[in-house]
Amino acid sequence: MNNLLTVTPSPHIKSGNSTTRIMLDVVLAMVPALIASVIIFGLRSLLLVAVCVVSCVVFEYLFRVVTKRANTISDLSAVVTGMLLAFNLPVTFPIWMAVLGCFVAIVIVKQLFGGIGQNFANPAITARIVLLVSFAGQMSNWLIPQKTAGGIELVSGATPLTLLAEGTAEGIPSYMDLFLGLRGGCLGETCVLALLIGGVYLVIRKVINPIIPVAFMGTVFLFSWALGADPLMQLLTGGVVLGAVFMATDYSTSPVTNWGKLIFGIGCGLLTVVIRQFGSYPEGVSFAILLMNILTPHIDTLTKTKPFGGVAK
Amino acid sequence: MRQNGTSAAKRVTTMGLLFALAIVLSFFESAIMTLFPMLPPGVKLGLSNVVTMYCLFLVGKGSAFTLVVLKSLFAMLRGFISGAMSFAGGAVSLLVMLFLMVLTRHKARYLALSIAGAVAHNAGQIVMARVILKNRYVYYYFPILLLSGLVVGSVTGMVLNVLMPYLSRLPTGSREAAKSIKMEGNNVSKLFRKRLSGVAVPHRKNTKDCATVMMPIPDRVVIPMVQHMGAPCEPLVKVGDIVKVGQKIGDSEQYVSAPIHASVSGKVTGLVEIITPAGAKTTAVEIEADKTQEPDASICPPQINSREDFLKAVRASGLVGLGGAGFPTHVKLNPKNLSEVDTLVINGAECEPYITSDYRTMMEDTEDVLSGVRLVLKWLGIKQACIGIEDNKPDAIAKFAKAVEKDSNIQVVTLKSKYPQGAEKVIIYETTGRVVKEGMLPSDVGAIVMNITSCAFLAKYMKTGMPLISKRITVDGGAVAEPKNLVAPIGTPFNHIIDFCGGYKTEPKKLLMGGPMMGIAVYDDSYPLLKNNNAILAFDQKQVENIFDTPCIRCGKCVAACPFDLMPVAIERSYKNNDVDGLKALKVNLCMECGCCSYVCPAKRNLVLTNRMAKALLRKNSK
Repeated sequence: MNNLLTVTPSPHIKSGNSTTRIMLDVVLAMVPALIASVIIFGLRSLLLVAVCVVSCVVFEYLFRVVTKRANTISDLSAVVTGMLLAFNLPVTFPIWMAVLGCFVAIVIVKQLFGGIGQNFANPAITARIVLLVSFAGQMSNWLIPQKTAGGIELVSGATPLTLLAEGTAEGIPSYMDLFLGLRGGCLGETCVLALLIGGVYLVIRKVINPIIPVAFMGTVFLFSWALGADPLMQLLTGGVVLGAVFMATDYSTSPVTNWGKLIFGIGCGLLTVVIRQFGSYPEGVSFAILLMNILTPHIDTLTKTKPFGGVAK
Repeated sequence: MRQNGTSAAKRVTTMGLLFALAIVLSFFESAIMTLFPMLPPGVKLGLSNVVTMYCLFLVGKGSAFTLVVLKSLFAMLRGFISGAMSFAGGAVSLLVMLFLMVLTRHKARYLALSIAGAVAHNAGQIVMARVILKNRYVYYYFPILLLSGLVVGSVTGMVLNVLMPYLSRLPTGSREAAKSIKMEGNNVSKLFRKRLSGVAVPHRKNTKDCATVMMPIPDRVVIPMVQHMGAPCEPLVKVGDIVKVGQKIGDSEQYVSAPIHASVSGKVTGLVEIITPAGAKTTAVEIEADKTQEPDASICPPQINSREDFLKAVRASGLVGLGGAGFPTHVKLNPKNLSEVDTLVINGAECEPYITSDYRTMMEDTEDVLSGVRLVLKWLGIKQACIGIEDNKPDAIAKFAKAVEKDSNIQVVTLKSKYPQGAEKVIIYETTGRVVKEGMLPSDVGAIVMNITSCAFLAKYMKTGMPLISKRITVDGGAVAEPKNLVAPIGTPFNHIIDFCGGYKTEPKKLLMGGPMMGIAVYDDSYPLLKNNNAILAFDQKQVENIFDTPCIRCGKCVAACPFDLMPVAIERSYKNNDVDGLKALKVNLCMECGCCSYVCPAKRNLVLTNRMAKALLRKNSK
């Protein structure tokens, strides 16, 4: 035989899975929420998303070029981070601040720590917190959609969560309106239906394990009920569904085993409710996820799998 | 598309049918309830719950939950509150029934499950109503709904009892679920026992229906002196000797070894050096065939009068584990605690893609397999035998089930088609439920595993006395012109075998000895056929994946796929940090290198290789 044969160690077939395909699935899962945000908040939401995606990809590309490493933008993780960060911003957010947020997310949280798989916290969440602390006013400049005869009109006002925190009962939309997203809030967090559709898609495609979202949302429901608040309202307002489905499930910052994921989800839920009910911020999801991200390595150590037939020495 | 027991298309249509049925039933019962306006609101017949219960018992937990979600989404069309109530009732009911099934170890009766489900359904709805209406007084409604739940649950339970024998025969349910349900006591046992993970590899059993053909004798054979686990043999012939078929040409004084015999008659033309698949160097006897195939004079059926005679005969036959591991069978059949062994597990799983040689043995040599099983049972004094066959071979299962009808101590067990069902520890667990712990042998849990082809060979040897000199293999792969199953003499070079299969139709890029998951890539196609080969696969360019690995994204799919619940993601990290204590704690020594982790990794990392290097690191540090 005159041609050379390839000799590699086993296995010699692999599943069709790839990092790019997983990230593509996440992008597809976010499309319903994107469509919903355009319908509810208008075309500026599309502009914000586009700016964030482009900035994230450019920042990642430039960083890899400057540090002379292999380029990783083809794995689409920067696109996912860009979309998620945009989903965490109000529609009135200034463009240059969004670009700054992308810089924080990609360069500081992700690339400086080693790139994909090595970040210690969710890049989009951390960037959102940085923006909230730096530009509190612009991050709270909400527009509330109102259904009028001509379609949807936007007026500035407070989100339902802020109203709840203040204690006013007026102006809080009905359950169905909350479910469909006809309320004030960040671009991606309002339409719960679209987010759930995306979540179901991700579970079917085996991209995420349903344990974290279910544990997160279940804990928020039960704990806020135990504290006397309206649990369904707590679930449908704020960024719980967005955080539970898309941000808490980020691979590198959540535990790998099922028990670990359960603890993580419950922890996120507890912290969210504590911050909402007893803290001064009306929204606790981002801080809860960040704190649990930091705890993840310890959760992993505590929840190692038990090898089949293993004998403890 | 996978060709597992239930295809994706079948599952989707099943869910669609069940969903439609559940909706129709709920409309039907709301129409009926209008005939009884005196009954309190919320009291329902629960007919659509029968569909959910059918799903839970006979299709699967995931499908049952999907049904609950679908029903809630449909109810949401009537308003958010309707949807929330439907979800709360359905989810709580499902969880309670699942909990009961696990608690009673799946011996709960349909009636009890049905009543518990109905009461839980109502309880869930009351709680949701309390939350939405913010009215504590709904709790006072509970006694009425409890009563209605008891009545309705009993009715649906009785309906289920009557219908179950017919429902379990529906094609929508999984075959295995149907088999595990007994009519009295409805024992859904094995359905929920902890399942070992694995991966659903594509089956690609293209040569399934290719009847075995005998290959003509090649011009020369090269027979290595080590084709088994254990000590290599010493050659007993020299250059120039004339040998006959079945003549012993290699043997060893060591216990863990097996003799090697000539597969053709002719003249020994050389004692060459060859590299074994494991990478070691050994001698090989090269024989030029005279094509007469004259059998050795000493060949005759062995006389067996005792267990010692039996084990001596097994050794003399040269039999090693024909499933691929190549462990000398006479050693395996003689453990120190033989008196405690009560089960012989026959491995007919054949979980690797492409390979169908064991399947052909099952279809063509059925009686030989059973004779071999009965011989082992008799001479070793083992009580019972379990033949494990994957459910992608239904004809083989049916054939064997019929053939063992009269044997009270042999039964056929259907295994789910999942890789690596054929691994020793996995098949013992899946057929008998016993766990072979770290450092133990199968005989320590009272089981011995034998490959189905090894049993067939044993029977043939006892009849004829001809030792192991030829092997049935599958030849397949994108580069082979005519894939088929054939029997070739041991030592036949690969290129000769592939020529018999029509030669290469495109340029081969990878030549595998064995299956694609655990097979070994060969560097040259003049390599000879060994005793423990089951397949030769020639992959073309399209099938060879030159994929470079990307960084680990810590998705944890490797952890979910590992049948032994190891954590390759953590092993890789510890290996990179040279953390020997960490590797010991992660039990990397238990890894059987099945390849499930590398198969599922989206970053295409070679985790099996890392595990092997980690094991080498541990060995180096334990000295």
